[in-house]
Amino acid sequence: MVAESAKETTEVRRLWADPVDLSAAVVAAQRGDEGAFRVIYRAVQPGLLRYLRVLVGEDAEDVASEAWLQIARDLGSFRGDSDGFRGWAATIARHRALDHLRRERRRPAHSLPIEQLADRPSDDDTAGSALDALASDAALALIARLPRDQAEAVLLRVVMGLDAQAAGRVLGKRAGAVRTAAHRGLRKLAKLLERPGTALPDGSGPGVTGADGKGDTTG
Amino acid sequence: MSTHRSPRIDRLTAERLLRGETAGPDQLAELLAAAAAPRGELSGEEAAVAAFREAHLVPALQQRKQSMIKTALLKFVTLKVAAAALSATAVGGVALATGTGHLPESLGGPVPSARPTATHDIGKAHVAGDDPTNVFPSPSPSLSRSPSASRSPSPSLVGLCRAYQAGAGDNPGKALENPAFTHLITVAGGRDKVAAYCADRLKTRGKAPASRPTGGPKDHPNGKPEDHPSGPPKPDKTGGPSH
Repeated sequence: MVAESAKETTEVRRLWADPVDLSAAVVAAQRGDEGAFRVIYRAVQPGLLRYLRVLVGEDAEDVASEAWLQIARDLGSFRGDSDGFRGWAATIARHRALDHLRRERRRPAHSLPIEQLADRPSDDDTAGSALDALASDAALALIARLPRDQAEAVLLRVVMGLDAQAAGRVLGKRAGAVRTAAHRGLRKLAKLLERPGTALPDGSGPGVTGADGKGDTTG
Repeated sequence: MSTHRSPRIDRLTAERLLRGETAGPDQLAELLAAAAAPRGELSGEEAAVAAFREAHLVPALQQRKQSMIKTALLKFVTLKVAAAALSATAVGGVALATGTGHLPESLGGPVPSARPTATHDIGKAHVAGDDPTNVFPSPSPSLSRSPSASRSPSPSLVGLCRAYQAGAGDNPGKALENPAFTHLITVAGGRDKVAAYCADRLKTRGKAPASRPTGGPKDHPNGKPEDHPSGPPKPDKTGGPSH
């Protein structure tokens, strides 16, 4: 059954924990329970913010707070389970982001804030989280270099913890299309990682092999 | 140890990576983990909770306003009815009014049901999620929510914030003693948090108008609730230095 993993190693690591189940919290928050709303916020906001970082760059926090305003306001109308809620929140955030981009487009300049993400060590300069922040920012910056449909597919699945179906609903696409986009995104990321200078600042170390990786078809 | 694999990733591997599973070290897995690993990022919590509180406070506030209006209406109608009673067609007049449905409504009978202000926002929101089986009550309709947004409680809070900031310069503590700010204090989560809440709130708001001259209202009839008529009057009345 596990033959395919056996050829590499037998150990399967969990890279990140499964998303917290929010069903009960959502119901409680709908009844007005502020504590439950906080639980929801804490569980969803980090992923939401990262998703938005890739969509709108530095304005992610502003767009996220707009999204939360709407989430708080429309919470009563939401029907669904925990995964459904994440998808719903992501959809709201996404629409806010697209609104924002439309507004921005009318403004001059101010382009590609994403590229600065990797250089910018986050606002809190506490030494402990700085490296992590850098790694995470660098990761997001790299993901932001993907075509948007691929970046969104990867983020909704990895960062928001949605399955292909739910991600598809957020994006208005079929699950298969999202899967394909995410897979292409991963392949492209793997290739980006092969290039010198794109290694993550911590953890994986600088030993990125340079040019010997053949790479698959150029995307 | 870095058994660096060629970037050929089959569908199975891709799916597992996307689910957060991996076998062995891998750059790509590290990258995804870094992207997924949560850290801080909760600086907006109080603002979000304030919005939540606001959304749940508004019905009560509006209800109170509503009942005030009802009382006023009732007085007015009572006078009218009294006047009508004085005239010879008293009975006919009331009957007529009843027939046309004006009287009961102005008397306050159907008012709550005809204009369920308390649940108004929620009702509006249901436009987006009419179908309860729809897990994703697509937010797009509510994003272009001109009616709902104009009823949003935010404008008055923004107005209150502006009023507060205008008055706070001289004496921030004193400014908050004005009962008009009670709501603002509640929403902000305490007297001492009003300044920060307002700074945050107005900062966020302040960004939007920048894009307005170029045509914000055209495509975004929704996004600019600042001009809601119910917003400005409040602070004018209460926060103005004239009082």
